[in-house]
Amino acid sequence: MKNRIIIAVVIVLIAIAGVVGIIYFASFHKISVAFSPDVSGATVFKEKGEEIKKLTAAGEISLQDGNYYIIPGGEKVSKDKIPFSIEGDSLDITLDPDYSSEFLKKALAGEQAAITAAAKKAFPLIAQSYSIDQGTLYRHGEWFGAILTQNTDTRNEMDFYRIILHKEAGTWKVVQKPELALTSTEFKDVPAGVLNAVNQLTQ
Amino acid sequence: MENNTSKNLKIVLVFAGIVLLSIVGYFIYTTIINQGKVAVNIVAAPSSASITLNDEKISPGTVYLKAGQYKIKATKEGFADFSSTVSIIDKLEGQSIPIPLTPVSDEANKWATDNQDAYTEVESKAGESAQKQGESFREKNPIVKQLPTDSLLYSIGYRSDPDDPTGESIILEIDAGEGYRQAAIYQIVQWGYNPADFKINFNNYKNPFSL
Repeated sequence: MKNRIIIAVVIVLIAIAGVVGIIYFASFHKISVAFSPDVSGATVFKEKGEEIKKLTAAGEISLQDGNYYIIPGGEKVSKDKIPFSIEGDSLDITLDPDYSSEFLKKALAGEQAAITAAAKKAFPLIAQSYSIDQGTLYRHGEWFGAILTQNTDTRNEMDFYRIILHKEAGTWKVVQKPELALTSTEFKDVPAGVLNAVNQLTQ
Repeated sequence: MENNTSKNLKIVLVFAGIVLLSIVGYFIYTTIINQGKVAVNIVAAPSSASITLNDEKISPGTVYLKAGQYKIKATKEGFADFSSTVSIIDKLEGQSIPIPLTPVSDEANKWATDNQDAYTEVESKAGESAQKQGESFREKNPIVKQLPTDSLLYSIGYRSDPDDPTGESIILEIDAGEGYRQAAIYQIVQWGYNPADFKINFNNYKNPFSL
């Protein structure tokens, strides 16, 4: 009788352990991480900064529900945190970060002449009356944003304009005529992050 | 006797099954038909008025409509013709289309005097519906809580975007002199909004880069 009770208790404990184990393993979700060609690795952190895993190549990791972030690695790319959340399901993440501001700054030096020429060719008024200021490359260096400041009338307050150029097949093109503010309805093909950044530029 | 009982039970069960299937079928049918639509209460005084919605005859009560603008017309002998354009907002419960017909003839005037409750109900539903639509509009366009705003340099207001048939989108209207328009844009950013998310119209302004 005593043996039977012991066996029953052991079976119940094994069953409980089994259920707990199943629940624990089921709480992990597969996270598939893919890299763009410029990303050479990545580190996954918990929201509060605890490092979880270093990835040297694209692949899968298992994580529980929660908030995390990834810091991509690579010579050109920005090391800004990329947050993500897991809520009861698997997740596919493609790491395609913008280039770092240092890299883009260096890259701009080599593009500036072509950009200025393209802007002035598209809108001769720029050559006549405006200077291109606060010029910045965005994303992978294929987007350029700047403000146009009037340089002919220095006595009065004059409006400044915002301009965006895009590099297509090696050639810089003005996306749309310069505007006081860039809106997503008028600049449909421009990434939201680029629009937002150029709208933040000031004199 | 037992056979009869069994036969009767079978008949009852088959009948109950048919009724149940019909109810489920009707429920599925109405769910599919009304998918993407919202329940709208049509309230008219008098309720016997002849009503058309986009030229389709309807009766007072609940109708299911997709979001958008609708032309509503109502006629009743002795009352002035009623015509209006209403906006129905997507996924907003409790919307009504109120139709208060104005009495013209003596008989209609007498009916209206005797049935003040009907007009009160229409007004009440109109108020409720307007309040809900207003709440929905402010929720979708939180910037309107800041508007209109005036300063020495600029003023910012808004109007309904005619390209949005639901009437829920806005166009920001900025009045500012040369050199101060960016101050208005900066104010929008300061409020925590992204100018890229809006349609913006600058009054008394011509873009010098327009070809």
